[in-house]
Amino acid sequence: MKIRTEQVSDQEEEIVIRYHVMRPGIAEVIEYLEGLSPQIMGRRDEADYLLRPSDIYYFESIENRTFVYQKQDFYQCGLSLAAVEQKLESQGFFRCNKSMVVNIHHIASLKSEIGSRMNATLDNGEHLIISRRYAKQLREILKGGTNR
Amino acid sequence: MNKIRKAIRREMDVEFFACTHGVSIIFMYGFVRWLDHVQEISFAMVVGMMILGYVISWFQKLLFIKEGEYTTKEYKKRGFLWSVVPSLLLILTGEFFQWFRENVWWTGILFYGIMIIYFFMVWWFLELFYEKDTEDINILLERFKQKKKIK
Repeated sequence: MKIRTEQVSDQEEEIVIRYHVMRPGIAEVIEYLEGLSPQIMGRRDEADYLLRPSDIYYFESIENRTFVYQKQDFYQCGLSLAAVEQKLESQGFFRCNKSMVVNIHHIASLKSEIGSRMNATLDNGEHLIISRRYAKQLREILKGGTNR
Repeated sequence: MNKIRKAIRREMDVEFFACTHGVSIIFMYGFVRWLDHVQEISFAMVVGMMILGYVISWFQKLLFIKEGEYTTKEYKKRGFLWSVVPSLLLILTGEFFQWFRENVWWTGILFYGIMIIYFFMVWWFLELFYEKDTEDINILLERFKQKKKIK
Protein backbone atom coordinates (compact mmCIF):
# COMPACT_ATOMS: atom_id res chain seq x y z
CA MET A 1 0.00 0.00 0.00
CA LYS A 2 1.42 3.34 -1.09
CA ILE A 3 1.25 6.30 1.35
CA ARG A 4 1.33 9.73 -0.25
CA THR A 5 1.26 13.05 1.63
CA GLU A 6 0.92 16.46 0.08
CA GLN A 7 1.25 19.88 1.70
CA VAL A 8 -1.42 22.40 0.71
CA SER A 9 -1.44 26.06 1.58
CA ASP A 10 -5.01 27.38 1.44
CA GLN A 11 -7.13 24.35 0.50
CA GLU A 12 -9.16 22.28 2.93
CA GLU A 13 -7.15 19.53 4.62
CA GLU A 14 -8.44 16.11 3.60
CA ILE A 15 -7.56 12.46 3.83
CA VAL A 16 -8.56 10.21 0.91
CA ILE A 17 -8.42 6.44 1.32
CA ARG A 18 -8.58 4.39 -1.89
CA TYR A 19 -9.31 0.72 -1.46
CA HIS A 20 -10.46 -2.32 -3.44
CA VAL A 21 -12.11 -4.15 -0.56
CA MET A 22 -12.76 -2.83 2.96
CA ARG A 23 -10.27 -4.76 5.11
CA PRO A 24 -10.16 -4.66 8.93
CA GLY A 25 -6.90 -2.65 8.83
CA ILE A 26 -8.42 0.05 6.65
CA ALA A 27 -11.56 0.10 8.78
CA GLU A 28 -9.37 0.62 11.86
CA VAL A 29 -7.61 3.58 10.21
CA ILE A 30 -10.98 5.13 9.33
CA GLU A 31 -12.21 4.54 12.85
CA TYR A 32 -9.10 6.20 14.25
CA LEU A 33 -9.43 9.21 11.95
CA GLU A 34 -13.09 9.61 12.80
CA GLY A 35 -12.12 9.62 16.45
CA LEU A 36 -10.07 12.76 15.85
CA SER A 37 -13.16 14.91 15.36
CA PRO A 38 -15.66 15.08 18.22
CA GLN A 39 -18.63 12.79 17.99
CA ILE A 40 -21.77 12.58 20.02
CA MET A 41 -23.30 9.46 21.43
CA GLY A 42 -27.06 9.34 21.00
CA ARG A 43 -29.46 6.76 22.39
CA ARG A 44 -32.72 5.64 20.85
CA ASP A 45 -34.82 2.50 21.31
CA GLU A 46 -32.26 0.95 23.68
CA ALA A 47 -29.47 1.30 21.09
CA ASP A 48 -26.51 3.69 21.00
CA TYR A 49 -25.56 5.61 17.89
CA LEU A 50 -22.44 7.61 17.12
CA LEU A 51 -23.57 10.89 15.61
CA ARG A 52 -21.49 13.21 13.46
CA PRO A 53 -21.78 16.87 14.54
CA SER A 54 -22.40 17.94 10.94
CA ASP A 55 -25.58 15.82 10.89
CA ILE A 56 -26.92 17.37 14.09
CA TYR A 57 -29.34 20.28 13.78
CA TYR A 58 -29.72 21.18 17.43
CA PHE A 59 -29.70 20.00 21.04
CA GLU A 60 -32.60 20.65 23.36
CA SER A 61 -32.80 20.31 27.11
CA ILE A 62 -36.20 19.17 28.40
CA GLU A 63 -36.63 18.50 32.11
CA ASN A 64 -32.91 17.98 32.68
CA ARG A 65 -32.59 15.59 29.77
CA THR A 66 -30.74 16.50 26.58
CA PHE A 67 -32.08 15.50 23.19
CA VAL A 68 -30.21 15.58 19.88
CA TYR A 69 -32.14 16.42 16.73
CA GLN A 70 -31.09 15.47 13.25
CA LYS A 71 -33.01 16.28 10.07
CA GLN A 72 -35.75 13.82 10.97
CA ASP A 73 -34.57 11.64 13.87
CA PHE A 74 -33.92 12.48 17.46
CA TYR A 75 -31.89 10.79 20.19
CA GLN A 76 -31.27 11.21 23.87
CA CYS A 77 -27.81 12.35 24.84
CA GLY A 78 -25.94 12.00 28.12
CA LEU A 79 -24.24 15.40 27.94
CA SER A 80 -25.54 18.61 29.47
CA LEU A 81 -26.13 21.62 27.22
CA ALA A 82 -23.12 23.38 28.73
CA ALA A 83 -20.91 20.36 27.92
CA VAL A 84 -22.29 20.20 24.38
CA GLU A 85 -21.66 23.89 23.92
CA GLN A 86 -18.07 23.51 25.04
CA LYS A 87 -17.39 20.36 23.05
CA LEU A 88 -18.89 21.53 19.78
CA GLU A 89 -18.11 25.23 19.86
CA SER A 90 -15.46 24.84 17.16
CA GLN A 91 -17.93 22.95 14.96
CA GLY A 92 -20.27 25.95 14.65
CA PHE A 93 -22.64 25.16 17.51
CA PHE A 94 -23.89 27.91 19.77
CA ARG A 95 -26.41 28.43 22.56
CA CYS A 96 -29.46 30.10 20.99
CA ASN A 97 -31.65 30.24 24.10
CA LYS A 98 -31.83 28.86 27.62
CA SER A 99 -32.66 25.34 26.48
CA MET A 100 -31.11 24.92 23.03
CA VAL A 101 -27.77 24.69 21.25
CA VAL A 102 -28.01 24.99 17.48
CA ASN A 103 -25.70 24.17 14.58
CA ILE A 104 -25.20 27.43 12.65
CA HIS A 105 -24.46 25.46 9.47
CA HIS A 106 -28.04 24.19 9.43
CA ILE A 107 -29.59 27.65 9.78
CA ALA A 108 -31.11 28.46 6.40
CA SER A 109 -32.15 32.02 7.28
CA LEU A 110 -32.56 34.42 10.16
CA LYS A 111 -35.28 36.96 10.79
CA SER A 112 -34.74 39.90 13.09
CA GLU A 113 -37.83 40.50 15.21
CA ILE A 114 -39.20 43.07 17.60
CA GLY A 115 -37.50 42.89 21.01
CA SER A 116 -34.05 42.29 19.43
CA ARG A 117 -34.59 38.56 19.16
CA MET A 118 -34.27 36.40 16.07
CA ASN A 119 -36.28 33.70 14.40
CA ALA A 120 -34.02 31.07 12.85
CA THR A 121 -35.35 28.84 10.08
CA LEU A 122 -33.39 25.61 9.79
CA ASP A 123 -32.88 23.87 6.47
CA ASN A 124 -35.42 21.20 7.49
CA GLY A 125 -38.05 23.93 7.86
CA GLU A 126 -38.08 24.06 11.67
CA HIS A 127 -38.11 27.42 13.45
CA LEU A 128 -36.10 28.28 16.56
CA ILE A 129 -36.18 31.46 18.59
CA ILE A 130 -32.85 33.04 19.40
CA SER A 131 -33.39 35.15 22.50
CA ARG A 132 -32.15 38.71 22.76
CA ARG A 133 -29.15 37.79 24.93
CA TYR A 134 -27.93 35.10 22.57
CA ALA A 135 -28.83 37.06 19.41
CA LYS A 136 -26.12 39.51 20.36
CA GLN A 137 -23.62 36.66 20.72
CA LEU A 138 -24.66 35.22 17.37
CA ARG A 139 -23.91 38.53 15.67
CA GLU A 140 -20.43 38.44 17.20
CA ILE A 141 -19.87 34.87 16.02
CA LEU A 142 -21.04 35.65 12.49
CA LYS A 143 -18.83 38.72 12.35
CA GLY A 144 -15.94 36.47 13.34
CA GLY A 145 -15.56 38.14 16.73
CA THR A 146 -15.11 34.89 18.60
CA ASN A 147 -12.65 32.10 17.98
CA ARG A 148 -14.81 29.61 16.08
CA MET B 1 -30.16 37.71 39.22
CA ASN B 2 -30.96 36.81 35.63
CA LYS B 3 -34.63 37.61 36.20
CA ILE B 4 -33.78 41.01 37.65
CA ARG B 5 -31.50 41.77 34.70
CA LYS B 6 -34.26 40.74 32.31
CA ALA B 7 -36.79 42.92 34.12
CA ILE B 8 -34.45 45.92 34.03
CA ARG B 9 -33.84 45.45 30.31
CA ARG B 10 -37.60 45.20 29.72
CA GLU B 11 -38.21 48.35 31.74
CA MET B 12 -35.53 50.18 29.75
CA ASP B 13 -37.23 49.22 26.49
CA VAL B 14 -40.57 50.39 27.81
CA GLU B 15 -39.16 53.67 29.05
CA PHE B 16 -37.47 54.41 25.75
CA PHE B 17 -40.78 54.18 23.91
CA ALA B 18 -42.62 55.85 26.81
CA CYS B 19 -40.38 58.91 26.39
CA THR B 20 -40.77 58.88 22.60
CA HIS B 21 -44.56 58.66 22.83
CA GLY B 22 -44.82 61.10 25.74
CA VAL B 23 -42.68 63.76 24.08
CA SER B 24 -44.48 63.32 20.76
CA ILE B 25 -47.91 63.71 22.41
CA ILE B 26 -46.81 66.78 24.39
CA PHE B 27 -45.12 68.40 21.39
CA MET B 28 -48.03 67.81 19.03
CA TYR B 29 -50.58 68.96 21.61
CA GLY B 30 -48.56 72.13 22.24
CA PHE B 31 -48.17 72.72 18.51
CA VAL B 32 -51.88 72.32 17.76
CA ARG B 33 -52.81 74.60 20.67
CA TRP B 34 -50.25 77.13 19.46
CA LEU B 35 -51.92 77.09 16.03
CA ASP B 36 -55.10 78.04 17.87
CA HIS B 37 -53.19 80.88 19.64
CA VAL B 38 -53.23 79.17 23.07
CA GLN B 39 -49.76 79.46 24.58
CA GLU B 40 -49.89 77.76 27.98
CA ILE B 41 -50.35 74.12 28.97
CA SER B 42 -50.78 73.04 32.59
CA PHE B 43 -48.12 70.92 34.33
CA ALA B 44 -50.76 68.34 35.32
CA MET B 45 -51.62 67.89 31.65
CA VAL B 46 -47.95 67.36 30.71
CA VAL B 47 -47.52 64.78 33.50
CA GLY B 48 -50.74 63.08 32.39
CA MET B 49 -49.42 62.81 28.84
CA MET B 50 -46.13 61.32 30.03
CA ILE B 51 -48.07 58.73 32.07
CA LEU B 52 -50.20 57.97 29.03
CA GLY B 53 -47.00 57.44 26.98
CA TYR B 54 -45.80 54.99 29.64
CA VAL B 55 -49.09 53.07 29.67
CA ILE B 56 -49.10 52.88 25.87
CA SER B 57 -45.50 51.68 25.85
CA TRP B 58 -46.24 48.91 28.36
CA PHE B 59 -49.24 47.82 26.33
CA GLN B 60 -47.05 47.62 23.22
CA LYS B 61 -44.41 45.66 25.12
CA LEU B 62 -47.00 43.20 26.44
CA LEU B 63 -48.15 42.48 22.90
CA PHE B 64 -44.75 40.94 22.14
CA ILE B 65 -43.81 39.64 25.59
CA LYS B 66 -44.08 35.96 24.59
CA GLU B 67 -40.63 34.50 23.92
CA GLY B 68 -41.92 31.82 21.57
CA GLU B 69 -42.56 32.00 17.89
CA TYR B 70 -45.35 34.14 16.37
CA THR B 71 -47.16 32.96 13.28
CA THR B 72 -47.35 35.51 10.44
CA LYS B 73 -51.05 36.02 11.13
CA GLU B 74 -50.46 36.47 14.85
CA TYR B 75 -47.57 38.89 14.21
CA LYS B 76 -49.66 41.00 11.83
CA LYS B 77 -52.58 41.05 14.27
CA ARG B 78 -50.32 42.21 17.09
CA GLY B 79 -48.70 44.76 14.80
CA PHE B 80 -52.13 46.16 13.98
CA LEU B 81 -53.08 46.36 17.67
CA TRP B 82 -49.69 47.98 18.37
CA SER B 83 -50.88 51.07 16.46
CA VAL B 84 -54.67 50.96 16.86
CA VAL B 85 -55.03 50.51 20.64
CA PRO B 86 -52.65 53.41 21.51
CA SER B 87 -54.61 55.65 19.12
CA LEU B 88 -57.86 54.68 20.86
CA LEU B 89 -56.30 55.13 24.32
CA LEU B 90 -55.13 58.59 23.32
CA ILE B 91 -58.56 59.65 22.03
CA LEU B 92 -60.33 58.23 25.10
CA THR B 93 -57.93 59.95 27.50
CA GLY B 94 -58.11 63.22 25.59
CA GLU B 95 -61.89 63.19 25.56
CA PHE B 96 -62.14 62.10 29.19
CA PHE B 97 -59.90 64.94 30.39
CA GLN B 98 -61.32 67.34 27.79
CA TRP B 99 -57.97 68.41 26.40
CA PHE B 100 -59.60 70.61 23.76
CA ARG B 101 -62.47 72.17 25.67
CA GLU B 102 -60.95 75.66 25.31
CA ASN B 103 -60.06 75.26 21.64
CA VAL B 104 -61.84 75.46 18.32
CA TRP B 105 -63.36 72.21 16.98
CA TRP B 106 -60.66 71.37 14.42
CA THR B 107 -57.75 71.30 16.88
CA GLY B 108 -58.83 68.00 18.42
CA ILE B 109 -59.39 66.39 15.03
CA LEU B 110 -55.99 67.61 13.78
CA PHE B 111 -54.20 66.38 16.93
CA TYR B 112 -55.82 62.94 16.96
CA GLY B 113 -55.31 62.57 13.19
CA ILE B 114 -51.59 63.35 13.42
CA MET B 115 -51.11 61.07 16.42
CA ILE B 116 -52.87 58.15 14.71
CA ILE B 117 -50.53 58.61 11.73
CA TYR B 118 -47.61 58.80 14.20
CA PHE B 119 -48.38 55.42 15.81
CA PHE B 120 -48.74 53.70 12.43
CA MET B 121 -45.53 55.36 11.21
CA VAL B 122 -43.50 54.24 14.24
CA TRP B 123 -44.62 50.65 13.58
CA TRP B 124 -43.76 51.02 9.89
CA PHE B 125 -40.29 52.37 10.74
CA LEU B 126 -39.72 49.48 13.14
CA GLU B 127 -40.68 47.04 10.39
CA LEU B 128 -38.25 48.75 8.00
CA PHE B 129 -35.50 48.60 10.61
CA TYR B 130 -36.00 44.88 11.27
CA GLU B 131 -36.23 44.18 7.53
CA LYS B 132 -32.84 45.82 6.94
CA ASP B 133 -31.38 44.07 9.98
CA THR B 134 -32.67 40.73 8.66
CA GLU B 135 -30.92 41.38 5.33
CA ASP B 136 -27.64 42.26 7.06
CA ILE B 137 -27.69 39.29 9.40
CA ASN B 138 -28.40 36.86 6.54
CA ILE B 139 -25.45 38.26 4.59
CA LEU B 140 -23.26 37.62 7.66
CA LEU B 141 -24.69 34.09 7.98
CA GLU B 142 -23.88 33.27 4.35
CA ARG B 143 -20.37 34.69 4.70
CA PHE B 144 -19.83 32.62 7.84
CA LYS B 145 -20.90 29.42 6.07
CA GLN B 146 -18.78 30.19 3.00
CA LYS B 147 -15.74 30.91 5.15
CA LYS B 148 -16.13 27.57 6.94
CA LYS B 149 -16.49 25.73 3.60
CA ILE B 150 -13.25 27.27 2.29
CA LYS B 151 -11.41 26.37 5.50
